[in-house]
Amino acid sequence: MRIALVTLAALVLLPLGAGAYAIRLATLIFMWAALAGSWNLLAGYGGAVDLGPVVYYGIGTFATANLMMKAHLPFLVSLGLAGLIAMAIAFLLGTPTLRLRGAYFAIGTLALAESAKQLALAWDRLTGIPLTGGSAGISLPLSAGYLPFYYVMLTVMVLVTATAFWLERSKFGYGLRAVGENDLLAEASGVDLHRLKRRVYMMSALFIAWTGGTAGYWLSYINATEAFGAATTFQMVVMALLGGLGTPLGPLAGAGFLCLVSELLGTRFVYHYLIAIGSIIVAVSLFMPSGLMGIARMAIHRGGKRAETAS
Amino acid sequence: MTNDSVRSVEQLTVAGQTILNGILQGGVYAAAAVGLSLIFGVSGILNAAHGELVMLGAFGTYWLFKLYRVDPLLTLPISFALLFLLGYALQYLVLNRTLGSPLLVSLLVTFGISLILVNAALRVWSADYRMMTVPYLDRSLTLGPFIVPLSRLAAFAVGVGAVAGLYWLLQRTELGRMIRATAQDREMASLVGVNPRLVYALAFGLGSGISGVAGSLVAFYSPVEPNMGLTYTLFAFSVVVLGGMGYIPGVLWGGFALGIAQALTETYIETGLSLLVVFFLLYLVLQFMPAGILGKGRIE
Amino acid sequence: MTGIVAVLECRAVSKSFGALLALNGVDLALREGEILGIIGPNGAGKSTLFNVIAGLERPTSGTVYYRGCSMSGLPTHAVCRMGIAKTFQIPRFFPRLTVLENVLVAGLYGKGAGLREAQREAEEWLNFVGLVDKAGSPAAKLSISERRRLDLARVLATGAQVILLDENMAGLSHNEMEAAVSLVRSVRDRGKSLMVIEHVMRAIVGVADRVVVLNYGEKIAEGSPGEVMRDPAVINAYLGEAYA
Repeated sequence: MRIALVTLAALVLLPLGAGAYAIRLATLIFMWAALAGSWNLLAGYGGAVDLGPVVYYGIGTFATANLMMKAHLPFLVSLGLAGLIAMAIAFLLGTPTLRLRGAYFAIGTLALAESAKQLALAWDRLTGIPLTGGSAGISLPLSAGYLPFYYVMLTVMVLVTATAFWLERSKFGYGLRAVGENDLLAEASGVDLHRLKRRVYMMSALFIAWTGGTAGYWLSYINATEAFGAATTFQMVVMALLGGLGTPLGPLAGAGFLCLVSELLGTRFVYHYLIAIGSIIVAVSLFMPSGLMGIARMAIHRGGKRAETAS
Repeated sequence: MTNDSVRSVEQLTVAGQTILNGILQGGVYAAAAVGLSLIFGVSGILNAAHGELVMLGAFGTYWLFKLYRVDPLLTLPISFALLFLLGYALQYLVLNRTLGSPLLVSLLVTFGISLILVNAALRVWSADYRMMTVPYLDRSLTLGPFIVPLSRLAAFAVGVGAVAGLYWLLQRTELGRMIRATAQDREMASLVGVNPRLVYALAFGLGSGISGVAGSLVAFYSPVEPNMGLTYTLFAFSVVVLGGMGYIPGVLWGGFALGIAQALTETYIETGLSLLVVFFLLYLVLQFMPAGILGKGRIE
Repeated sequence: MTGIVAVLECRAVSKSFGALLALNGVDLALREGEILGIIGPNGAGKSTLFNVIAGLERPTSGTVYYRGCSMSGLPTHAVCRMGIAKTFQIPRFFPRLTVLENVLVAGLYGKGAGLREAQREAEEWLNFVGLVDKAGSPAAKLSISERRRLDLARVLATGAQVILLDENMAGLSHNEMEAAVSLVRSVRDRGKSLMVIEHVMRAIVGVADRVVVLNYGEKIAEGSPGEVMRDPAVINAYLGEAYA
């Protein structure tokens, strides 16, 4: 607990001492940590592999942008409302979708994301209500500095992580983990699995939408192909997996590691990077299902033992 | 004839042509999906890299034709053989390690494999759309008011033939009996001397080979590009669900249903929304007919 | 019914899987505080009966009543919360949760207890089945017979009044069997009503007040263990299997 508070304080104060580049990189890491962490809530604890979380990323992006530009609401208000919209849509979509089990759910959500992308691309032409700008996308007003984004992303990441810690020790978390381990047995033990899964699905939709809305304004240009693009899903999955599924800090570790790696490789090797991501998914799933956190735990365990024998 | 009746004849022709197009497309979808059904039925793996196998088959045919002027119809066995080997190796070397783990593991592993295949293809072949033109396939048949492009007809015939061939193989040959026995009871099969790991690899190879052939067929009439796989994964999954999970002949009906639904969407609603309509259809089936439109599938 | 209130009643319960009729018009009643044995040859429909009663499967026709209320159409978790829970023939558990957490989940959700109360009761039930020293280890590490006891502890923690035990004593040694039989009796002494599927005749005779015999999905006999054992239909259907 104390370590967490000290780290948090350091992160809050970081902009005082760091340059623009470091701040930008940190914001990026927070963003991916928040996304991977949100994915981890459902997949890591509830055992449901969602391959369509970008639906809420896209919704958050476009809802925030439109609320800011059409309704002239301040950024934070727009972001908050976008989160609520995403939650409402998650409620509607989640109710039937979460009844699918295992691989059916995974492919069902993948199809959900792809059709959301199609709908977003065709939206303006179909409905006559300009929201997404079709394939051209929309530009947002240039934002004031980079510090607000740093703090918003930090906040979302902290909220996601706190939620994961809460799942470790709460009634809701025990129920959800039971569902993730064996859904039929959980149901036979009195767990209303559909309600539990829907709630966590909505929570993760909220966080993802906030992240998307912030990222859109940060980049000041958004388009449906990217905002609903599967590449975002892939990164969320790989970061959560690499860090360690079902651990509160795993997604943070995974996001930090991969963001730094891709920063080093730069954008020149985008295909190499994605091939590497694919290989990591395969290798981690096969050989180290507990991820970086598992390795860290093992190291600490060994270190602890060594210290004991030494004393 | 009055203007009105001319218009209604025209409308009927359009509707008929649309449904015909849907059926022709459906035959190829069935071939693209049957491998997914086979692999799932035998080893319980839901292959998220399925569409990439179709994509590789399509590129195989494209390059063989483009670089070596191999007749597209002759590329089909080559496509099958190459993809069979790839599928066999994937199952034997990688996926057999996931046996006994939760579905999630094999799903994630195949998902990773799909990322590797897509991006390797992008790296090597770039994201360009490539289309081959085969003079003798470029002609069309005219059946009364309807037009049937030869390339589509050929693709349909081979696609349906491939599904029928696989069904025959499973029902009538020793290999098929071995595969079915292993699918039903892995432990029993190994007790009578069948090596399930080998059977899984064979089934994956077969499924992957047929998917490659389906990809080759797609290349007959539509452009080829590395990102095409995802769509085929989703289509294949939809076809299998529509036809009933694990019920091999169901893919034909699933394929036709998907092809027709898509063709109708493109004619009457909007081309860009085909996936949305398919997805909606898929949902209805999953919610109300989990064993498929024929009710013969396996319910998880 | 002859004036005795049944805590659980099945009326004309049938269940078919495609062409296979697994249960065919089964009527039975479980009295308050009773231990009712369910026996029958393999494939007689015993486990299907339990699945239907516990809400894991919907009957094709017929109704299950709990204290006079129809359970038709209730989802599994609601049936559990009403007070009916079953163990599994192949014991199930949450592999990566600890033994204590396995039982805790049942208390939290099946019984609706708060964290502190569920924690205390989970420890009590683990003590009751003799697993308290394993409370902290992952459930996946338990032996088969320990898993059976964990399954029982989980079912008890749901607070269910009707407990269905599906071959909870299978594969036990003689001594373990004695302990298991007395465990079942002490469950009844805590005010629960039980239905017990058991393949081992000795176990049933020792523990059941009454026995229902199923064959091919139909009830062919009912009565005290002694009566049923002498019934020619039962000897034919059930024991015939062994002496054929």
